[in-house]
Amino acid sequence: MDKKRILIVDDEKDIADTIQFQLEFEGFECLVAYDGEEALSKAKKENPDLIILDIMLPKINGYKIARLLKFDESYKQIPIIMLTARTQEKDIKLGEETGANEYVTKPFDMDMLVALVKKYL
Amino acid sequence: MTEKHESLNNKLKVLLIEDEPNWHKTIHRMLRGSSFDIEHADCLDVGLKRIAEGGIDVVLLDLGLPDSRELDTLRRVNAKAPEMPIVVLTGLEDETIAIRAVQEGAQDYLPKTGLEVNLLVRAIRYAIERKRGEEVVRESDRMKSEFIAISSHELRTPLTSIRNAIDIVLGETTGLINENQRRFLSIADRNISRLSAIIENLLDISKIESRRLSIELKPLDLGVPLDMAIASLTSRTKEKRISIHKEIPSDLPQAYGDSDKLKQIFISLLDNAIKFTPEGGQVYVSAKDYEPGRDFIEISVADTGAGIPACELEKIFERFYQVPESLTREIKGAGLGLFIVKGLVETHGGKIWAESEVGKGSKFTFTLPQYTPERA
Repeated sequence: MDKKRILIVDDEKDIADTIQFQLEFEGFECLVAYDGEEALSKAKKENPDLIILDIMLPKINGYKIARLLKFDESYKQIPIIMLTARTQEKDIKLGEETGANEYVTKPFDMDMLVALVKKYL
Repeated sequence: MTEKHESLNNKLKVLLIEDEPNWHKTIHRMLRGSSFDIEHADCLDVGLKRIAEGGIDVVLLDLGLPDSRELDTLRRVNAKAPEMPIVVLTGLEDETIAIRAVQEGAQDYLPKTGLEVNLLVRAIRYAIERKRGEEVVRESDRMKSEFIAISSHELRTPLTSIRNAIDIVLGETTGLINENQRRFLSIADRNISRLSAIIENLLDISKIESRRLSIELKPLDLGVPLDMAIASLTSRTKEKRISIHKEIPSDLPQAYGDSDKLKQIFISLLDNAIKFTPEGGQVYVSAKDYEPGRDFIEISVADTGAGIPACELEKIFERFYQVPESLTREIKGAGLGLFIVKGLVETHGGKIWAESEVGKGSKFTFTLPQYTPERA
């Protein structure tokens, strides 16, 4: 069976790197994007099996990307795990409204993130 | 320097809201030749409309107007123009109201009887300066909260990278590690958790202090957040061989609260109880209907620890309170836990207090509203 493909989106290269390393170790194939535009184009071109999406991104923010994908018939089935350093209740609500499947606050436990990914793949 | 610096052709504009024409004349006469321009309005509606048009620097306000009475008059001006300096004009007989007006946001008051030019001019100037001072304080308070919110966001990002990197090595994703490597990486990992907890606490405090803490009230069984809290403390209770006993009656009414915040309250109180209870000791959580008919539930967390001396008891809910070294040998926290718990309980409309006997233990009790159909 082909490896499942995960798109990791975070403008913090160090965070993207660590997530990528761990997920590749777990046997997933990873794509990485460092800003909103790159994320959207990679999501549409590569059609990944899951997206890990930071919210505060250059160019297009994570909420908008999630909304654009979740309201598009061709991509709405892709599970999205949102990452954020913001914990205002209203931000979490906004995240839920965009249709993201999970919402993870930074800093997070790597095992927990892996478990969430495996829940969908 | 002040931005509203008056010059000859840019006089300060005073709006007199007063229904008696005689007072219009008197005030006009008093301020003739001064650095103030005066306009008047003979009822509140006209006054509020004039304020809305802009250009007014200070309001002289009579509280008894045809369309508004007493403190309501002040409240309405405050609501429409929160940044407007106000001097309240009063009759001799109502000084009590005048003082309450100042407590509710007027900058000064003047008795109409015996009014003199010097007094009037001084009061107007004082009101403007005092209002400016109040605004500076408010602004710096707002900036403090914003600073905490932004910096905590900025702190989380590098913390995430560090935590992930440590997790990877500690989880042996990069290869096996030896016992000492595990030991020291565990120290780093544990302290990152502490650092994150401090950041969370600071954020909570800035929200509580600026009254921006939002809670989602729902009918709920207390046992649910309690069990989650106990589960998250398992490693601590195991480590010290402490047992937590629950005494929750099965017919306890449902609480009306925010499940996440209640879990946070329980974690904080239980964590303290565990901290101050010696190895092998007991911690009790009990709940009961608080004085039937009062629509509140009373919940207590009691430990069998060292207890808190009476002189300390009243200080423990203060911000940055630290337990004196003589009472604990454990690592000190930032002294924010109980302050936050109090804020969370009060946001629910409840209250919290502590009782203690040195050598026997301490008991923290808080109340929460019961769920009733009218509350929903």
